[in-house]
Amino acid sequence: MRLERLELGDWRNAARTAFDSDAGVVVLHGENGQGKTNLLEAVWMLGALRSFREARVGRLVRHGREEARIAAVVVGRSGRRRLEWRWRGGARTLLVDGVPTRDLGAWFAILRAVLFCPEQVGIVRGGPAERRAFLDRAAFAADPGHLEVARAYRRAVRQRAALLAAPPVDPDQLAAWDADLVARGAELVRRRALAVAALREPFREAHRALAGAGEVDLRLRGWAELDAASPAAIPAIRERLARLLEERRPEELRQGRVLVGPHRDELDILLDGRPARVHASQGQARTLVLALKLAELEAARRAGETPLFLLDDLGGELDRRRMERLTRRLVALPNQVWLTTTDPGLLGGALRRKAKLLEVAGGRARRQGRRGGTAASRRPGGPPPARRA
Amino acid sequence: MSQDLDPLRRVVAQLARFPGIGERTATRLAYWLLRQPPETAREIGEAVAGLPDAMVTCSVCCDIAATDPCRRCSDPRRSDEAICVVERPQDIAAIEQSGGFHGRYHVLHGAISPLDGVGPDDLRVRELVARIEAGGVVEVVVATDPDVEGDATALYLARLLKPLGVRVTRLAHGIAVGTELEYADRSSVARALENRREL
Ligand SMILES: [Zn+2]
Repeated sequence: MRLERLELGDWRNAARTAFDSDAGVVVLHGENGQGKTNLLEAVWMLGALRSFREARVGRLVRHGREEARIAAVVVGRSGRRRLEWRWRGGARTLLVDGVPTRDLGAWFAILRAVLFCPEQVGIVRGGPAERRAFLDRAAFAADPGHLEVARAYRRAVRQRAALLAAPPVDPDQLAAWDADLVARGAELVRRRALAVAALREPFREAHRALAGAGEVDLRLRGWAELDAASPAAIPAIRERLARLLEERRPEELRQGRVLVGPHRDELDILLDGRPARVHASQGQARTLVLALKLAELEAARRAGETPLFLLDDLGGELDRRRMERLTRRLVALPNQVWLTTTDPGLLGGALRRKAKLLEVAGGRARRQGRRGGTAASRRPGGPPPARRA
Repeated sequence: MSQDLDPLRRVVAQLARFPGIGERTATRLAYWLLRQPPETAREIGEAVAGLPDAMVTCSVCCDIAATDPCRRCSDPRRSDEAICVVERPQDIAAIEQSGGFHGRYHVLHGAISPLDGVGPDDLRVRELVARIEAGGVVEVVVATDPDVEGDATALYLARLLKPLGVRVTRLAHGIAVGTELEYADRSSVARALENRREL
């Protein structure tokens, strides 16, 4: 999938702007505070339907405005499609080819993205929730169906927690929620275990290529011996979850909390056989996260998917050698790459030749002509940018 | 707003109380009504005004009906051997239109949801158990929504009813997750019925 054109209306600091992005690599560069990350965030909003910096979507609307809009032309397996995201009065509307839709599966079949930003060093050094979120995102990058499985499981856990928190607990009802948690939990564990198995080899390979040293591994703690691809996997996981529930039921009832299930699972990231969470330096952690993201892309590619790869604020914190190794990988990727940087000079010739360079100033992106000088990115007299329903 | 003296504005305000009808649609409906012969408004008004007193809850299936027992509960051509359990009265129409079910119905009036404080005692579960204990039922088809609450309700009913000696089945997935039964299309409901699975 490739995003060929982006249009923004009242998004962050951009009143109205539009530009073509018909290249394998799109580089957004400019001084800090000019809005290059806002543009990348807009692409992420389309590809993930969330922001990586702001949980409250209402704050993404330009100051003093009531409605924000992001639209894109995406070219992929299902042809040329127009996606549009609108936010108004606290509610989101999604349009595919001009038709409103609530079918997120259909939306994500058209566009998905994988993100790397400096804060994601938390995947290695932060708490288990960040690693679970990474794993669920990686499973989703390869299969959008994972979203619904993870969402329904979370809902079932919240329901079961609400029951446990309001004693006296009806044992018959608890048994029903136990059975539900076991069924949904087993499906989630199997999918996560498959994702770990799909990530492991590409992770090792990408880390070797970026770092040049250090052996890495991934493990879903407690499920390491599980053969997730086997048809016996689901019954085996169910049996184990049911047993754990049985064992900890008195404790759950006493504490009024859900203590069993994959919402508490831990993804171990190992560097030279030791947990990277405590043993990796900041620089090593950053390389590990980059390798995880490259592995996520590779696992998705093997599943027949090519999500966009978004990298925020590239350059500042990687040493020159790692930067060279990374840009070599980026040039070779089949995925469309979007990145922001203050200094496109850091990117190296091969990447710059493949890239479309856009200079961002005052929230707008302008094409930097290859023959020097700048020109507005709009295609004069070209075909209409998108079909409208 | 109902104290408003302007009769037209009063009608608009009342119509706008319907879910899904905003001020603008309500205004259009009110002006349409004014253009019709006077009987139209009277007929609509009488039908609406009589509704609460005309409808009762069927003491057998808990559907909202004009008579007790309702038309379906007293229809001798229907089989007593199967009961289809739904969350809402409107869901019955979806099952009926599929043409794949000829037994009786039971309306729970909701689904189990601890987050909303809804437990089995808030639903018409006791009435269902009483029907099965009375005998003659072979299969209970649980047609609650294909979401987390609908699934848990189905599992709860299976635990409760199987010891009473009935088969408990669940509609196959095939209806999109998150779709309420009343909005599912006819052929997918028929398929979900045909491929129902044992709980
Ligand atoms: Zn009845």
